[in-house]
Amino acid sequence: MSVNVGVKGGDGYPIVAPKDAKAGRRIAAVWMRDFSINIAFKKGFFQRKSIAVLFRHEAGRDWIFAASAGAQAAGIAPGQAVADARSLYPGLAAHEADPARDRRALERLADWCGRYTPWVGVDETAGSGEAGLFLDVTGCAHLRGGESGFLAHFDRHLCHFNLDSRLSVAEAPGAAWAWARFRPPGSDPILTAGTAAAALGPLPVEALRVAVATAETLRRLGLRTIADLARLPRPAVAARFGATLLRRLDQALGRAPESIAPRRPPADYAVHRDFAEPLMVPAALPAALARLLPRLCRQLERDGRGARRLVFSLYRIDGSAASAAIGTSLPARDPVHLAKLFAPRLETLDPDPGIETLRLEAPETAPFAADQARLVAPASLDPTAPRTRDVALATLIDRLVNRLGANRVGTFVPEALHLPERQARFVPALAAAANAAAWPDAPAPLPLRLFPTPEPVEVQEPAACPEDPPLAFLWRHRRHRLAHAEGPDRRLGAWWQGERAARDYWAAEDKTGRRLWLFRDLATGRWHVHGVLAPAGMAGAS
Amino acid sequence: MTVILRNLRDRIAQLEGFSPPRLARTCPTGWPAVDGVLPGGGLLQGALHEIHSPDPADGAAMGMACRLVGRFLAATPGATALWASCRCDLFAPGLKAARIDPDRLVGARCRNSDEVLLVIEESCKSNAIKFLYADIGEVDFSLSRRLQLAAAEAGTTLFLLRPARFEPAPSAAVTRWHAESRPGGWSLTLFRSRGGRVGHWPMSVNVGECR
Repeated sequence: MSVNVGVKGGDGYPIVAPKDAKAGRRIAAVWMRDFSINIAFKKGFFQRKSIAVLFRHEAGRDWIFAASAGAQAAGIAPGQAVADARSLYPGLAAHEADPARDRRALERLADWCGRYTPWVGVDETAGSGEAGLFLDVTGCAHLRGGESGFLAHFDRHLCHFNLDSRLSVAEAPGAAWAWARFRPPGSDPILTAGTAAAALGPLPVEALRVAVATAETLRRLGLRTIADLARLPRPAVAARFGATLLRRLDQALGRAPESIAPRRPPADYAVHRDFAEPLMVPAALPAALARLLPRLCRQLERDGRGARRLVFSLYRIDGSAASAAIGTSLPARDPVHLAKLFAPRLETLDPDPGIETLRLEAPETAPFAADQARLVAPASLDPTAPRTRDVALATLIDRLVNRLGANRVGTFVPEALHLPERQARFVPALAAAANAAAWPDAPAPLPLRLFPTPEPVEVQEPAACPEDPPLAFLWRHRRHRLAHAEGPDRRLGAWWQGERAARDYWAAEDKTGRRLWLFRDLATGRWHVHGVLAPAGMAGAS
Repeated sequence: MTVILRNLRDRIAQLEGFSPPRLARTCPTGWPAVDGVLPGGGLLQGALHEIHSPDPADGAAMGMACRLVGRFLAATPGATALWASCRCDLFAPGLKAARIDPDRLVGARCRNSDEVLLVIEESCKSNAIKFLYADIGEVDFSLSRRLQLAAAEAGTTLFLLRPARFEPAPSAAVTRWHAESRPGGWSLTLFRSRGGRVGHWPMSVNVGECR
């Protein structure tokens, strides 16, 4: 188990140091020009292909924030007032923009992009109604058949999401950003290493991710392309336009490093809860967790899985975050058991100045064997049952499994099969006290120890009848003389599963009183020792 | 005088990691002759016991451990037992005859005796296991004292199944037994018993009777 509590970067994820710019990075940029409109369509605010706009209410008027392709074709552009646009096209559909919703959708998309690479960044410079992402695909693209294969795969999925997008891959985020937006029609979306400077030269200065005002000033001065700007002496540019423009130029040409903040790979199982009123008191955390756990456990149950690791994160109103993690060595999905494991960790979480969102996710899960349900299910169904012992036992088993390894600690479950080695299954879990499937009553004496593989014996003195156990045999370098034997107990393999074994078992006592479980393989007629029984009369005593 | 002596005995017992014999809980073995010899009329609970076996192919020691654990489990509702061994050979259907409910038994399959010891110590620490029996090889005195202290503290009754030696090494176990099959039955030897007498009993086929 581990706890990590720390303040994260502004968007909730740690900011890491930029990678070495010379390391041959490959960055993909996604530009979704009509992202807000696409999302509004997906949400069903507009009819398909309608002439539609999103607006924001400001200074007493509704201003167009984003316009659909149809609206733009009709001459409607962002920045106009909705009333003016209506005069151009009376049937205009208008809906209020919701940047927070768009942002959430973008975050979800970014999480989804984690399938390609964990290094996914949100483009914070995208204009109104647009959105962009950066993906560091260094060393990842080959998994999709190279960069072109990756782009095709990605593009297909974005199309499937009804997102109009343009993609590119280049050495630096700045170059990929520019190439995604401003590349000439028909050119290759992939900028191979070393070609960025030449390819970006003819692009307009807007491709540098600078403010609209800066771009306009540059144009007024006759600096229309990146090449025009790059030709100027650097000190002059810095003096006239400030350091930002130079930094953007250097980033685009791959001369200055730029980092992408990584996102965590999305967890398949996660639940969260938003609070209208921030949660302030630490004492409220256990209750909040107790409400999240059953929801997550239901998700796990639906897919027949159990959690190996759980992360409980809290996002505070000041944009900071903290988290606590627990690990289980057995896949677990009992809310009560998991809450117990979390209990000591919750004390390390400080809600101050107030929690907006709680998130519980299971980044590691594993198939939850049906047998394991017996571990806790009956106890959790009965709330009055004493549970401390169960939890202590589960915790012990967790710890032992951690040290010894899976499949080494467990309990025995009866199987309706006849071959001894198949009669009991060792399941890596803890059986419930009340077991539905009872152990069969044994018609004949049974051993306490069963050897994993039957050990052949050397018959020294066969019995008169070959079906009876040998009168003397050599086993483990020792001669055993038979005193008497109980049997036979015939056991057949699961012939319906193709098991052909057929054996006659005997509880054989030798002259020293040792009792061995002998069997004769009916196919070969050979004798084996398969186990050791308690001495006569002992086991049944009470 | 007797009071002073008794208090001194209690003090010594506590120093050695035992609860005073008067306060200790015992559980009868079900063999009247044996219980008559054991202090308190039964096997001390929350203590270390050793059962020595002449040979792994002799089921007497294993049978005795299973029988005692089964008996104690039946007398302690809700308790759980644990079996630890490097030999993955416990046959669960056979436990029914020894009156152990396999559902109340946890198995630990270990790779070496270090892992067996780890299982024993973790089980004692967790308080979840009431009875534990384990196959183990050599145990030196300091290790046996560690196990005895852990068992006393947790209230876990430990049975160590050990191969018999001609001259067994000293041990802190409360009782040390030697169980061996005999023609038509088996024999039980108590060769070390803290605060009690030793004894030897041939056990006949007649269930649970001492000859």
